[in-house]
Amino acid sequence: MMKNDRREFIRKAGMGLLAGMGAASGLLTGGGFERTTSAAWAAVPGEEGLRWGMLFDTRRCPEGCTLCIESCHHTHNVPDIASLEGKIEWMHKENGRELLGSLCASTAAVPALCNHCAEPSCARACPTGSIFRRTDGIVAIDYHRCVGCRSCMQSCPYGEVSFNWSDPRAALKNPTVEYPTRQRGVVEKCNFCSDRLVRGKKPSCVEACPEGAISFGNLNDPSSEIRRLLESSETLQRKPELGTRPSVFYII
Amino acid sequence: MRKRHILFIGLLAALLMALLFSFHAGTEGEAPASQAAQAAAVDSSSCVYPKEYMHTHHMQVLEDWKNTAAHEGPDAVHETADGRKLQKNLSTCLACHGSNRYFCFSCHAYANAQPNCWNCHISPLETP
Amino acid sequence: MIEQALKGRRNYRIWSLALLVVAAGGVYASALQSADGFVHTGMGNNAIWGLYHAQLPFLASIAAASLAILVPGTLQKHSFLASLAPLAAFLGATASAMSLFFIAADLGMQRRILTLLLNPSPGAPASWQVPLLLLFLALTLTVGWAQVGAMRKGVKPPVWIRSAVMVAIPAGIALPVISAFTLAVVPGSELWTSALLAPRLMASGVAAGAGIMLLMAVTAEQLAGFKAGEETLERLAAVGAWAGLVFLALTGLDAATAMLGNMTADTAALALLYGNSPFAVVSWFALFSGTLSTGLLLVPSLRRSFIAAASLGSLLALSVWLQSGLTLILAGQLKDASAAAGYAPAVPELLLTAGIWAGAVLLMTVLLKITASAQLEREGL
Ligand code: SF4
Ligand code: SF4
Ligand code: SF4
Repeated sequence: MMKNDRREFIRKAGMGLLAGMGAASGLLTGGGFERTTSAAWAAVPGEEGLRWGMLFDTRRCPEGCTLCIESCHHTHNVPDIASLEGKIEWMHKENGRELLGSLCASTAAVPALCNHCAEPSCARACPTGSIFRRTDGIVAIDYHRCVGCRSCMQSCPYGEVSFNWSDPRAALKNPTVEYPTRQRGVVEKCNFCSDRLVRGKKPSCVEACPEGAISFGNLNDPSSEIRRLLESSETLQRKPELGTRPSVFYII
Repeated sequence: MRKRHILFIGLLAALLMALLFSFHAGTEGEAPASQAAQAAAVDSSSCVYPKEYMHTHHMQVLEDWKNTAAHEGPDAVHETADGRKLQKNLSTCLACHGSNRYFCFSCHAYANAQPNCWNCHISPLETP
Repeated sequence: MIEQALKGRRNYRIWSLALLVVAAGGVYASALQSADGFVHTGMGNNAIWGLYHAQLPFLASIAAASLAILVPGTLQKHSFLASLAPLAAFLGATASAMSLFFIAADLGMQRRILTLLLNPSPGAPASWQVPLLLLFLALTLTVGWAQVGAMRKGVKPPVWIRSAVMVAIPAGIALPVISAFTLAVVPGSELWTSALLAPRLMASGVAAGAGIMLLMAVTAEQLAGFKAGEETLERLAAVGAWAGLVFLALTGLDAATAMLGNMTADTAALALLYGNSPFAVVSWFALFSGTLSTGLLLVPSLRRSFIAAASLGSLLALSVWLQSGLTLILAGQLKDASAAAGYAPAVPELLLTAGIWAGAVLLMTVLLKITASAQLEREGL
């Protein structure tokens, strides 16, 4: 009898442990955003708190327009480096098929930026905690701490981290005074405009888009505009199969 | 002897599991994000600390902001003794002191201090 | 003890001087790099890591491999490896010191290097690297030094050595594991996310470590009169051969699984490694030389010839350096074939890499000489 009890205890403890481990690794608590069909939304329990997200309606995004990119790069003093080997980008436009995979019917260029992943592999690679996920879901870089090991750049599966191979100031013609530049030897990427959010403004790219193609809001708030759009449309994410849980979505 | 082996294996398993958990990169900070920070201003009519304190300790204040602000993210707010809330950001300082272009430099030149703030932050001297 | 580093015959002085010159070249290149950043390297957006980082998995595995000799050599009574134990300790110390130098060389913000110790983020395997390397360096250096000291005085090594080795075991085994984990956090890089990477690094380290130790012991035997013993060297060669076999088997298993399972991403990575990248020649050479040297080391008569064993051991070490270091990193980081053309190391980068290696060989030479003369002194008593 005694023996059976113990066995039962061990079995339960083991199951509890497994469940705990699954939860900790995000296996069992799948967040809802990866289910990109509207039917799946209802079945998924919501998450608490703030998680900023972005949605591109690429149907409204005209070929050849780069206003969002220009606005972002100007606001954040992103240097304009021509060489492919040294290029720095917070936002860029790429072939939709290459970006979003075969589900994307169109090969027209669509905008891309850091996905502010809920499970960011860049953060798991950083030896100093200089790239990390904030409580509002923004994946930020501490430029005061980054040692320039480029592990994050290597481990971002979307190639959204850039490194300052040379002095960025040399490649800045008309800097924005309110926002700092970076220096040679650190990485940089889109900050989801945390500098503007804190002043109650929308991201620079969102404001710059004349077509209203970019929505920005709290993914965890069922009444937000972005959630309404997500629930009413078919959307895609970049490489969802990697389990990084991107916070940037696309309507094709 | 057998028992000891089992104990050892158990300990090893526990250690491995602890390691597994430690490799789970989570979110920095536990509290859900507050929107409070959005209310924090960048400018103010008077300094974050008394003038005399800032004369001798502005480097410590700035060093502290520098080390903590990015990681506190939306909650990087400095509360002054009289209850004002200000963003931990160099632009909070420059909102007032930027109006005198030489505010930082005249002293630093005299004291031969070479802070590296301006490696990245755009100094008032560089603005037209 | 230390004065032995400065005395020596003409050949020893020429050799040391040559190494010093190469190391000085490294110092020059390092100064150049501190002044101007990575513009003097071939690295860029298509080759995020270059020669510097490519040394790390190899060196971590060598450091760990020193335990394979050090542990039986110090903890077991009457081990046939006892005479090699100080050599193994010094090899571990040198490999960890080199790792630290290469990590430092690869930082964009070198003056923030202490951040690696002050702000670790435990969730990131890369955070564990530097603290572990420092610990392992300190342990192996002390153990080796104490052993040589005891050898010179003709007394038994102090007892605390055993505890130091006990602490070094988990630290040393963790080194290649952590090294593999720092690569495993990169999703979609199939050469790195294999679960076999850590065991493969360990096996390859033991193979290469045995190869390097063979070379060291035989050189010390020929030039400085160090005596390791015939049987010891033969067993060392056997250790290298078997470890090489395990390494090759694990590599083969990895590739076979990818191909039988038709795992497209994995086979694409293998195609980059062995097919359509500039590294293919190196990969095939490494595989071929590894197989050849392992195979020949399995032949007992060849193992018994010092010269043959030492040269086969060196070939094995070279092959492992290419596979667990260079091509693992340089081909592993490629996203597609078009990015492959990107990387060619620049001259200052080569100088700095060669400089660190020369410094390490110099350190090893000095330590070897001190060990050999300590042994001679005891025999002279
Ligand atoms: S897109 Fe890349 S850089 Fe951005 S959070 Fe995800 S993994 Fe990190
Ligand atoms: S480059 Fe900077 S942010 Fe990226 S992993 Fe290294 S220390 Fe972290
Ligand atoms: S959110 Fe802000 S930082 Fe990110 S791409 Fe848009 S404008 Fe640039």
